[in-house]
Amino acid sequence: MSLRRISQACAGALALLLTVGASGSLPASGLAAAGPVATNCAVRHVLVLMDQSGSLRQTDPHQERVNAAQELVTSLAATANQPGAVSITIAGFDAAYEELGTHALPQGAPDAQRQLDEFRQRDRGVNTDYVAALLGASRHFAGIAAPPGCKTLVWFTDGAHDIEVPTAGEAATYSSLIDSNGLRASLAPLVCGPLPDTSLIASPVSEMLRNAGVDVRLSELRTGAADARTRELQANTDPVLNDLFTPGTGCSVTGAREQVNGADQLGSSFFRQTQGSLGATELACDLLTANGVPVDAVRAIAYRSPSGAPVRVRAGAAELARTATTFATVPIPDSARDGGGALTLDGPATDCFAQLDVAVQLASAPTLFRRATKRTVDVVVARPGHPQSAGLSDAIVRMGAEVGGHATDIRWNQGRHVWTLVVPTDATAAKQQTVDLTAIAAPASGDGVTSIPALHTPLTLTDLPPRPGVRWDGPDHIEGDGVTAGAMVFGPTATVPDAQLCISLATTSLVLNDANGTAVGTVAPDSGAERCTPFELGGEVRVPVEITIPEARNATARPSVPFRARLVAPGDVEDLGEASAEPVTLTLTRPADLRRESMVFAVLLLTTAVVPLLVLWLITAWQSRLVDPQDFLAAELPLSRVTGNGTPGRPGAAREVTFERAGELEMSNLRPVTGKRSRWNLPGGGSLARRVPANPFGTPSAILTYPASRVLIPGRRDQRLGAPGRVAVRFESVTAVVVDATGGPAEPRAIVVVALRSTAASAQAKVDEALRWIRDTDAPEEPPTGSPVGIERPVGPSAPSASGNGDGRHAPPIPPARPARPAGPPPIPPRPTGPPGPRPR
Amino acid sequence: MLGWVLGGIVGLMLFAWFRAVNSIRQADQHYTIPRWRPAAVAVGLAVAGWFAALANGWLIAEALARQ
Repeated sequence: MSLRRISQACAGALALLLTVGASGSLPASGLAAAGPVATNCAVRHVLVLMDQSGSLRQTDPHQERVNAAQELVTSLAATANQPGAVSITIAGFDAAYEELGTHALPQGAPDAQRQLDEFRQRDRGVNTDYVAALLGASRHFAGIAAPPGCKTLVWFTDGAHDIEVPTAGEAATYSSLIDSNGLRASLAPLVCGPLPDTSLIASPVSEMLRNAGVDVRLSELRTGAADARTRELQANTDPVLNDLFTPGTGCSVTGAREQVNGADQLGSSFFRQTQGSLGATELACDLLTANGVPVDAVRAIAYRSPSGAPVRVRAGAAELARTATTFATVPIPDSARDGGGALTLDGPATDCFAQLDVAVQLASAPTLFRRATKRTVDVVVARPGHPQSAGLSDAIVRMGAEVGGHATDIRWNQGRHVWTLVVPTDATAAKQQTVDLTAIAAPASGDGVTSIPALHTPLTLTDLPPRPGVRWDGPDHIEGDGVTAGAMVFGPTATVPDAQLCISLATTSLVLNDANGTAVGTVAPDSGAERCTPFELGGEVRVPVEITIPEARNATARPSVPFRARLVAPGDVEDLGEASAEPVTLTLTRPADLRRESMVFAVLLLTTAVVPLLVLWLITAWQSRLVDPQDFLAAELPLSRVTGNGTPGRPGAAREVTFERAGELEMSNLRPVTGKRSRWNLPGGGSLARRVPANPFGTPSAILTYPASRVLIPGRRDQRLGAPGRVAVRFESVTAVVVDATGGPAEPRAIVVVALRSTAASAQAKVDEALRWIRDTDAPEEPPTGSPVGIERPVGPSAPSASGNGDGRHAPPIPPARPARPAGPPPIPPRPTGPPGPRPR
Repeated sequence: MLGWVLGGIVGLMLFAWFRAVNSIRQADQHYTIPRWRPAAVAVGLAVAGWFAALANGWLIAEALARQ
């Protein structure tokens, strides 16, 4: 099969990709398949064929297939540039094929989506009849007159071909068999042929699909572990589907089969299938977010952003679009394409596709020197008619080439950004005047519908030696001003035995212009004497070049250096003429202005330091508000001191002082708490005031105080609050013992704060627990006399000391009360000086 | 800019939100502080985020200084 014929068919990419080598080149012999080509369709006909068998209740209980299909409708509507540009038909299948309706997009998109909603309930079918489904689809498309590539079947199924009830549905219309096993086994002959005697159809289903020019896009959901019966059904179905989607099997149709193992991946799968059917080329999203692709090679870009996070599309520094939807299609205007640069995405895009508008072209007009034994030709895959624009690299396309009927190697030359093919000697052995070059390209990923026009051109054999190639050896990014050294490296593009390539530069200084034509510096090649190298591939002539940038700026510039080349051979000198070398696009950048950078950073530092911390501190102040006092009752209960000689063997026990309740707490003693959320008024003249921490990361707290008194809040010190005398701002109750700090005769009293719904008994129980804690614990260390200090209680809502240990952990229960202490009024222990230390447990 | 705002504002707001939630949680007598000390971790993350905002601020300054 000749390459010319293949490239006319032009859609062999699927076959190509299956035979692509690791080098990025396409073996010419692998260009074997042909099929529908994505063309500019007057109307694009799409049939969405949805499985509605009962197994969907297990495999897709949340109807993700419906969401995905509705997203497909929206994305197709977005591609319709005029009313009716897309015609979408909704159909379902189980035991039979059933069409629900046809809608013209974009105007009919809401109706189509409403119709798709019906599939949320369509999950009761008994059979999964692939023959009926594909027969229905092929008959649907057979009645539509449209060019190949304009008819797409988007087929969703979650299982395998299964005829559980042979009498149901349409099985009797295509086969005379009446048993389930026979019908299941006849899937392969009915789809791929040869047709069995029991067949009631005229030709195999795959042939019908091919004849109808349908591009079949299968999204197959396979979840979880399959049982034995399902495995058996899949074993019967898989070979048929493999043949259907493998080029060259005789059963194959154009399109692609994609398996997903979770219903949540259906949105991605449907989107990818849609883009594939539209002829879009899949690109690695990393490529788009990092280096990008040449913008002039792209007509439109499509991608998904499943979370709806914003994605920005840029062409060079200009922003083309900003989207915040789950998927988007962004056309690239001609003005942006003309501007050149890289097309990039900024955001969490997935499933990236591009509508490429490129063709394989010669980078320059080559002539093949008849006397050469080895020659190269440069080819680009670039915007049609723009061979000098940035071409697609091996990250995006793969290539294959033939010259004069001989397959040849073609490789991406990263340094020169061109594809270089070697013209084999055999191709020019005869005495012909020209040889035919064919070069084809296919996307490096994706499937077969994408079409890149191939290159077919004659190459003239001439007696004039070829001009040399040139590349830049030096930095392509210059920061700031000053002098940058590099070299123009000239190399022969053919091998001529016993000849030399000689290069001379007459100019010593050239003006370097930026893309706008503004002079940004000078280029000074070391002209010197003529330099020569053997005229063979791989040889090189290096010419040092100094680039002077007098003033730093942000720009791009392309130095152009005129040169003259000669071929010098024994008895023969050929003048190859003058030409200009433009081997590199330099990026000039302004270095960072340290003063400006420092100022900006200082402002940002100040802003970062002040604003967020100020806001956090304000929030801290707001969070420091106490709970609402109206939700609490408080009571004051007189206590009596009980002093003793201590417990033998306990250090410090002689200084112990405890308290006992001097009466019963009545309900009438519990009074509503007054005050505000910043400060409560407590019985007996005390207060509970909030403390806003100066540290915005601090924990909000409050302090309980009584004038000229010490406030003992039984319980371990709450380590979270960092200092004694504080309680958390959220609590359900507080119990405190207030002792006169002046040495006066005032009797101690207990203060209890409880929730509004509490009873006198529960409040008294809290007091009793607090007193028991004091009695069972060594006397608290206290601050200097006169200093109103609250000793903290646990934060928990329960009795203050019973269960909370103050840091939020569960404390061990309070041990049972010890036997009564000996009577006698020991003095209140002296107050130690200095800050309070931790209370022993 | 996004990193700067996220680190400088959103990170601290998340910390404030955590503190509010933690305060409510600790008002329950059955609450037990996990071993990994969520409050300390939250403070650490908030401070780290804040320093990340500073780093992003430096990048912004670097970009602007090249204009």
